[in-house]
Amino acid sequence: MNNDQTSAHASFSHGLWRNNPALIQLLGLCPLLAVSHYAVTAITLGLISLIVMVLANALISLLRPLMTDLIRLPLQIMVIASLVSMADLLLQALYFELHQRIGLFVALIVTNCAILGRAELMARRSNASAALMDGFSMGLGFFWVMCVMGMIREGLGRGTLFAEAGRLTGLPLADQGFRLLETPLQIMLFAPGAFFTLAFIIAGKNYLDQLNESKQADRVSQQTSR
Amino acid sequence: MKSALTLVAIGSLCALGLALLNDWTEPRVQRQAAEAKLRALARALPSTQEAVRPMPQGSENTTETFLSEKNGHPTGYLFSVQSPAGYNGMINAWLSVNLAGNIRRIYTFSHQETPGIGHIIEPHQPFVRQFEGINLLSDRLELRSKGGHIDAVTGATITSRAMVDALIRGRPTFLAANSHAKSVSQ
Repeated sequence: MNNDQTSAHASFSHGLWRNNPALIQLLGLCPLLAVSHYAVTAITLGLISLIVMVLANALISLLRPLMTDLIRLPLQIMVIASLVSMADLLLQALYFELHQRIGLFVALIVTNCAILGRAELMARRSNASAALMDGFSMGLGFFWVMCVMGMIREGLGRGTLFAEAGRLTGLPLADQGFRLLETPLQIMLFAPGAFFTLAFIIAGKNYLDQLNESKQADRVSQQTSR
Repeated sequence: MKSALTLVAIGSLCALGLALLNDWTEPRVQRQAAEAKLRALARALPSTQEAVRPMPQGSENTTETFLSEKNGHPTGYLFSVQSPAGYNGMINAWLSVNLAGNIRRIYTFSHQETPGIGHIIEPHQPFVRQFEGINLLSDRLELRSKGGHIDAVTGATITSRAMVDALIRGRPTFLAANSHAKSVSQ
């Protein structure tokens, strides 16, 4: 029981941190860099990717008995593409203006290697619940990086946070969002800003990991010296 | 052979699911697209509290015409005007007039005039603001050099003339909208 819990915990932190699809595997960078200029669009795309990842992993895992080597890849892509198209249609029907902003990138989720990668590496080899869990952990890992990128870039590049969120999602939020800066750094909204932000997040993660490692090393050396 | 059949079966399932979902979403998407278009059009109006709705089209005029409203009361018409007489091709603008035909706002949405000179016809420029209040039908739409009251911009005479031309070409649209509104109210 205890062992099971730790392994579930390990596989969960796998996607969130240790093997994060965006920060370590560096997969799915196209939407990550292109849509993260506003917090609202970044969060939406991150959320759709998360949902597609969970469902794709679960479905592909369920289709395991049918999956021979010959048709493995077309089958996986077909499942992913159908799910993405469904998400695209639903977004267009429910949040039309949001779809106008990021519609192109929703369709591009099909080509997000992070999703096919999980299907290939994990889902087709494990049972449905493990695959579901894996998709959730990886999707959440991608989602939080999207959120952080979106908030940093909008905050610095536009000086606001969650601007237009109310209008685009129909939630009761102020149209101007929160005002953070009076003189924004516009470059953060453009492609270079996306790369800067991603670089800083990766650097920050590596720094935290190193700090953690050296702490553990200290603890080990203390124990051995005793 | 077996794997081919599997692929076909799952492919058909996916297609069926998508077709059903598309059936459900399509009318919603179309309705929202129409609403989004009207919201975008309302930006061409002078007041932010106004809304537009499409007017039924008469047979004699094919230009799409919209009725602008404030709190449910009609404030005028909105339609596009264009002139091929620009310095470098077509000039397209949204023209909003009140019910009597007085120009309320000209909102140019596409043109290929020389950058730096042609911007005089863009929204909020003094050149286009001077038209506001002028009656589309009864006032004389002509540049001052031809004896009218419109000030052309030096160095952009052709662009200025094209804007006037676009307005003159908008007269039939206004007449059609006006006669339609009268026939409805009678």
